[in-house]
Amino acid sequence: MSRSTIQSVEQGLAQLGAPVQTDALPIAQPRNESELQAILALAAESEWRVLPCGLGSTWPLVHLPEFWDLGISTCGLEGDIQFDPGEGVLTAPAGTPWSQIQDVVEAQSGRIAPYQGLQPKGSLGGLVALGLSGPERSFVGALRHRVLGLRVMLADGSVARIGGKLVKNVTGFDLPRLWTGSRGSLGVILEASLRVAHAPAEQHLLRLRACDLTQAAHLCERFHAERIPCASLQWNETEEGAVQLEVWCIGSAGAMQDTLRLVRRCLDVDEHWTEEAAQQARAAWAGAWRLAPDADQLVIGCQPSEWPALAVALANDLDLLGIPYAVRALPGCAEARVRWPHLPDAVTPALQALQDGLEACHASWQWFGTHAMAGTFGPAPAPGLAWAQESLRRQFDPQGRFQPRPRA
Amino acid sequence: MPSPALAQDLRALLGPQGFLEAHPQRLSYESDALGLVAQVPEWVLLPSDTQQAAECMRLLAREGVCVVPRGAGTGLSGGATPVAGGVSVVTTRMRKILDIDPVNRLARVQAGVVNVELSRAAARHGLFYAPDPSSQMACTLGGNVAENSGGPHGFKYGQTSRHVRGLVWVDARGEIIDQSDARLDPVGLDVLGLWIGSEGMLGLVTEVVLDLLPSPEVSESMLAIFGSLQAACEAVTELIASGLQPSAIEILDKLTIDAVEASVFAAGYPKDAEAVMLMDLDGSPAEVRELGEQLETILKAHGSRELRRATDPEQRRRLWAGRKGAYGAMGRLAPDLYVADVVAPRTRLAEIVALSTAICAELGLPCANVFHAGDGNLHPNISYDRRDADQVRRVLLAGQRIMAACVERGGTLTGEHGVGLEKRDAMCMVFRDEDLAVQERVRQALDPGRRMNPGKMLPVRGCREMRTRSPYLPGMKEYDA
Repeated sequence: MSRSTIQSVEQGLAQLGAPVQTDALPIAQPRNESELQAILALAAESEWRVLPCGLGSTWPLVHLPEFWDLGISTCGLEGDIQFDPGEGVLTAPAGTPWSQIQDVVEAQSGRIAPYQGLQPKGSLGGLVALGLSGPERSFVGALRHRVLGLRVMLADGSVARIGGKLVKNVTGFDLPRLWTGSRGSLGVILEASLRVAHAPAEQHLLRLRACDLTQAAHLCERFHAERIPCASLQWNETEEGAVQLEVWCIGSAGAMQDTLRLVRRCLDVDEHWTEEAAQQARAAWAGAWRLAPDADQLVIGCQPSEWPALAVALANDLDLLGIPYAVRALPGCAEARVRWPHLPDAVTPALQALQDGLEACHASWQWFGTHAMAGTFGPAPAPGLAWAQESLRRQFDPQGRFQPRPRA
Repeated sequence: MPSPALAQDLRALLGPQGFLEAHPQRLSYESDALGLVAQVPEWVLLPSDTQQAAECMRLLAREGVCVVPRGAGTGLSGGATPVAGGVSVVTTRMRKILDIDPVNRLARVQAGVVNVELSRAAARHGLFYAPDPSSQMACTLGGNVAENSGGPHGFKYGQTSRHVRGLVWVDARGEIIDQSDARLDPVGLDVLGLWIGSEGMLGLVTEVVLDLLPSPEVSESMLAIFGSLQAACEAVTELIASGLQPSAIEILDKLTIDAVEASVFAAGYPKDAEAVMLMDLDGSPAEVRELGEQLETILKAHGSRELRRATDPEQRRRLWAGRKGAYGAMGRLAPDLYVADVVAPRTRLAEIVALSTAICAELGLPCANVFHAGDGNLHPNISYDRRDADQVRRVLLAGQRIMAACVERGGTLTGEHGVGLEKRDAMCMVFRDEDLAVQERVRQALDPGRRMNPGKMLPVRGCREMRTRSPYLPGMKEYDA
C-alpha cells in the first residue's frame, strides 16, 4: 500500500472517528458501532487488511504495514461495566482497560484472575482475543473457560451475540470458545461477559530466592505429585539478574491452614507476605520482568511431566539464538514465556532447534510478535484440523479482511 | 433411501454385530430419552474404532446419507432422534479405556466408555473424573462431549468442556480429525472448544482425552431440611453471594421426596419436609470443617429445621441415592417423565421455581422439582402418560411456557441437556435471526452438505417464518398461536 493511499485512508477515517497516526499505519478509533460499521465498509471497498486491537498495548508488535493496512481500536466504544456479584458475571465493552475491570470487581468483593495478556495495560477484548490464561490457570481455569458470551462485529458489519450471560449455558454452538484466542481473525469483539469468582478470604505470597529454572521445575514436579493446591507458581529473572520462585496461595482460612503446611514441607521459604502486602509484592514482581514489555514473546505450554525436559531445552537452546532474552516460567500451570527484543524475520537454524526442542517436549507454543501475526512461526496443525480452521475462518471472513497479507 | 450396494459394503465392513438392519433391532434406536418423538433409522451402525467409524462415514458420504450420531441414547432433548431415511451411528461398541496417565492426570478413552467406568478406573490412582450427569451409570463420555453435559458437581468443577483436553472425531466426509495431543492451548482457532456441545452436528467423536482431578482429601455430604421450597432457594442465593463453594448444591422438592422415599432409592429424607438441600463439601480437613460451619449458619438463618452430615462413604452413598435415583423414582407417578432443563439467573431462583410450578398447576400437571441449585439449572419434571394425546399437548405447552418465563427473566433454554429437537424452535426466544445466522456459518463450514444430525439445534427457517408455521413437535402450534 502506497503512502498516498494511506493519506486518503486517513482523510476517510477522519470523517468517521479520530484516527491515530502511528509512524507506519493508521489506527481508527470509532466512537460507536455505526462508525465501526462504516470503517469496515470502507475497508471492504478498498480491500484493506484490517487488524482489530483494543488499547493498542501490543501495537508495537504488529504495526508493520507489510501485513496490514489499518488498525481498528475498540477503545472508543464506550459503555458501563456491569457486574452482579450475586450472579458472578461481568459484562463490559471490549475496549475497557483490564485494570478498570479489576478495580470494579474488587470493590464488590469479587476477584478476577490475573489473566495476563502480553502487557499489563491491555483491554478486555484484547485479552479475550489473545486467549492467554495467566499464572492461576491450573487453579481457576483457562480464560476460555471463563468467557460466557460476546457481542461481535463481522467483516460485513453485521453484529451478533454469541453465548450468553449465565454461568451455565449450552444453548447453541459454543462460539465464545472459538472466538477466544482467535486474535482478531474472525472479526471485532465489541463486548464480553466473563464469569467472576469471589474474593478469597486469605492470600499468601511465599518467595524462594536464588532458585534457578531447573530447580524450579523439580519443585514444580514435587508440588504436582504431592497435590499441593497453590494458586500459582512463578519463576522469574529480574532486571538485576536475580532468579526466584514465588508461590501464591489463596482461599479460605481453613484451606490456607492446610495448604501452607504442605508448601513449607517442600521448601524453605525466604519471605512470606500476607493480604495487602502479598498483593503489592506480587504486583511489584510482575513489573520486574527483564526486557521491554513490547518485546516479541513466545508462550509455551506443556504437561507437568515434561517440565524438567522443557527447562533443559530452554536452558540449552535459548543461548544458541545469540539474542538477549528473558524467561518467566509458570510451572504450576505448565507454562513458560520467553521474551526477545526482536526476533529475526526468518526461521534460523537456532530458532528451528528451539522449536524442535519444544516439539520433543510435546509442548504447545504461540509466538506473539511481528512475524507471529503474519503466521511465520508456530507449530503446524494436523492437516484435518487445518482444514477445519480454514473453513471456519472463511465462513466468518470470506474476503480475508482480518487476515494478514501473505508475505511477498 | 440408501442403496442395497451401500448396505452390502457396510455389512462387509461391520459384520452382523455392527450393522443392524432388522426392524426389531432398529426399533430400540427410534428415540433417545425424550421419547416424545420417534423415527426408526434405516440402519444402525456400530463401529468398533476410529478407523471403522471413518470408513462407515466415507461410505455414507458416497450416497449422501444423513447421519445421526448416538451414544447410549440417554439424552433428554431428542438430539439422537433418528432422521427419516438416515442412519444412526452408535458409539457403544467403542468402550475401551485406552490409557490413564496418573502423572499428568489424563485419560484417553473411546467415545462409548460409560461415564462412571472412567471414575472407577481413575479411583485406583487417587483421581476422579468430575462431570457426573444423573445418567452417569449409563451415558457415554462421547455423548457427554456432544452435549457438554454437567451434573451436580459441575457447580465447583465445571461442565464437560472444562475437562476435555483432546478429541478424535470423524467429519461428514469420513476424514479423521485428530486433536488428541492434549496440548494446553489450541494451535490456532479453538475447534475443539467449538466441537464440545455441538450435538453431533459437526461430526462423530470416537476418542476423548480428559482431565482427571485428584480425589479430595476429605469429602462430606450435608442434608438441610426445609419447611418451604422458597426458603431453600433463598438460602442458595445467599450462600452463593457469600462466596461459599460446596462442590454440589442440589434441591429436591416435596413431590420428588415423596416419590424417592416410596421407591427403592429411599434415602431417609423426611416425608414431612417441603424441600431438602443436598450438598457435598470437599477439600482439606480444615477447609471442609470451616465450610461446614459457614453453611450451617446460613442454612439455619433461612429456616432449615435440621441439618444432617454424612462423613462415611456408605452414609453419603445413601443420601445421594435419592438424588441420583429421583428420575427413576418418578416412574411411580406415571409411565412417562418430561425433564425440562432451563437455567435461571441465580438471584431469581426462587421466583422461577415458583413460576414453573404454577405453570404446570395451571395446565393440570404435576411438577416435581429436582435441580442443580448452585448453577441455577432447573429441572422441573412433569410426569405424564404419552398415550394420552391431551396430556402430551399440555406437557409440551408447559415446557414452552417454562422456557419462555425463564428467558424473559434473563435465563436460557438449556444448561446441560442440549437443544436437540425439543428446543430447536425455541432458539428464537434467545437469539435473533442474525445471531442464529452466525451459528449457521459454523455448520456451513464443517458440514456444508447438512448431513450430520440434520434438523437439530438450529431452526431450519428464519425465526419470523418459524413463529407462524407449525413447529416440529406436536403441541407447540397451539402455544405459538
